[in-house]
Amino acid sequence: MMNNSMLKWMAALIFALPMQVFAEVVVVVSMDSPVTGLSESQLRQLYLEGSGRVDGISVRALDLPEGAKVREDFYQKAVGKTPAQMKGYWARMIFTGRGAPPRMVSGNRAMQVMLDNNPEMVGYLPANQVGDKLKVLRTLD
Amino acid sequence: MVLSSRRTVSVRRLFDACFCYSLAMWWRFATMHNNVNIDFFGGLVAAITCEVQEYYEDKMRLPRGLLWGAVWVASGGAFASDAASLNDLEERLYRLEQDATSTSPSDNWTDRVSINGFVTYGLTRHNVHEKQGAGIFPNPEQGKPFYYLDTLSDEVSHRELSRVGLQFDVKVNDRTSAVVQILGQAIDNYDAEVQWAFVDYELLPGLHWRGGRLVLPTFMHSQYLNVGYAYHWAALPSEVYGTVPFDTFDGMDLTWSVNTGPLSHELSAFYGGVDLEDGDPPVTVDYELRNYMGANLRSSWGSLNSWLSYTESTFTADFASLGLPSASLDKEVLASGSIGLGYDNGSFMLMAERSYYDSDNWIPDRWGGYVSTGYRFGKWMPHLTWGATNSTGLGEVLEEGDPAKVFLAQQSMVRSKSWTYGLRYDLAPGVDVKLEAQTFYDMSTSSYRQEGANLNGMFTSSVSAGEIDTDDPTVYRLSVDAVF
Repeated sequence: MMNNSMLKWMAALIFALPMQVFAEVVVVVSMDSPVTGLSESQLRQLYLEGSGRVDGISVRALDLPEGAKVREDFYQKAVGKTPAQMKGYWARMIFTGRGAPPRMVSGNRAMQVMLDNNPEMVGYLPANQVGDKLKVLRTLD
Repeated sequence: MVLSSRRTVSVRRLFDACFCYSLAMWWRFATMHNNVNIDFFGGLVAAITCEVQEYYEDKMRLPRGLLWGAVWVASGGAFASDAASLNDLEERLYRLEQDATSTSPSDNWTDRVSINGFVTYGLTRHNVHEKQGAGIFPNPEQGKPFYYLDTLSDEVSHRELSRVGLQFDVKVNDRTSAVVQILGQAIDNYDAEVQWAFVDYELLPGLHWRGGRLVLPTFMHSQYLNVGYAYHWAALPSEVYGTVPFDTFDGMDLTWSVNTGPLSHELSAFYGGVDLEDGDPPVTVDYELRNYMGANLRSSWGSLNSWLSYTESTFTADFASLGLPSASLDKEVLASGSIGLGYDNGSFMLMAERSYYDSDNWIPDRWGGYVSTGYRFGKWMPHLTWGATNSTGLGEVLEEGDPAKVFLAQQSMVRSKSWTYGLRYDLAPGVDVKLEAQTFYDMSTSSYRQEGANLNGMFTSSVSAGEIDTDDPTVYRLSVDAVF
């Protein structure tokens, strides 16, 4: 039989497990955004160009910080590229004047706030971080 | 090659001051843009950076900013549980990020300007420890080392690869932007030259017109040849990238980006001209390239990408100053192109390109090509490249027998093959270290009908300096690249 302190330790361990490791990545916009859907290729294009048009609506992409696990997952699933490949890709794009990367926000919380206040922006978050002010356009798994 | 890639364009001097200024500006921006990386402690750091940012608008605020920063740090533990503070922070964070992303032209010019840069520091040397002898003609460089591509010798040099570039992107309005990229190369004492300077106008969604100074899209990697971080080698394969000694032109281009299902394409056409001065005063040659035009298509499909290009121009140069007036070129047609393919799935990489360069008169035609493969083991990427190049199409000039033309033609003939063994290590996001050795073989063009052709490949021509005896002439390179 487990004693009290063991139970406490187990509880602590469970809470300490990083939840987003298990969470799916979702593509989100503000509830006010006129964008209602995003195809796989539209999403890939948007993140390879930094901004673009979805069904005639001008949109801009947002990124989580470099090194964020969610960002790595997102790029692998949405664009099929590793962080190193993306870094090289943007070096080629920027210095040939062919584009600018998505703007980077500071974290999940900043992503929520930015999307909530800017209906023309598109971002991604772990599924458990969406909140009730954003709507999900796609689930990546 | 007679045509050296080193240029002494006087216009550069104009930009020296600009370059120093831009360095100072970059430093300012590097500090300001740190607010991009604020994370969990968001509000905290944001508050501090916000104050620091305001400092630039009003210098008197810095002490107050620091004081505020200290207060915020000191109270750090308290506001995690304090809902009011948290909301306040979010509001602040939102305003801060909003400021930095506003699309509408605002009073604050910093919102509309972004600055990026690249830098490479490199060491090079080769293993040909011989001295130049006398060739068919008296050699003014007799006793000096053999140079690979005009400058690289058997002494360790910090100058061959080292360079820095700064790029300013200014958003003028929703459809117009302006870009200026300034490049300083150690080999030119960091005399700054403008690589890119253009205005970009979006005619229709996906259709961009650009006018000004642009980098020539001659081959697959030409437009980012100075951005070391953008490719896996320390130096692009000289079999292809050493063939055309011009890298920028003045003119315009039109680029159409189009997606067909999973494929995306960029179709581009350009038109313009090149003027440049080569050599050291007082012996200089002015080169004029007119009606420089071409088209290229870049396509990608998942891990696959391809490249196809064609370029044409007329070439005029007066060699009277070199004492070779009969070799002067008058509106000779130059044409070049390449086809390239690449595959990169994130760990396995394979790339190949085949180029050609056709010209009239005594300039040899030349083809080049390489195949390169590598594999990423985490941050390490060993790679292997085979390259080859050869000069052709000189039969007529050699038979004709004009001594000046024959001399220049034989001097400019290049035949060479090489193996490049390289290792790239990703030090941090945006920073890499590269080590590579390129071993040359089969450098003799003696299969030409005439005696006296260049036997030294891309090293100093045997026509002027005699043949290299060293077995396996090898160029070693070590470089550190960063983009920011």
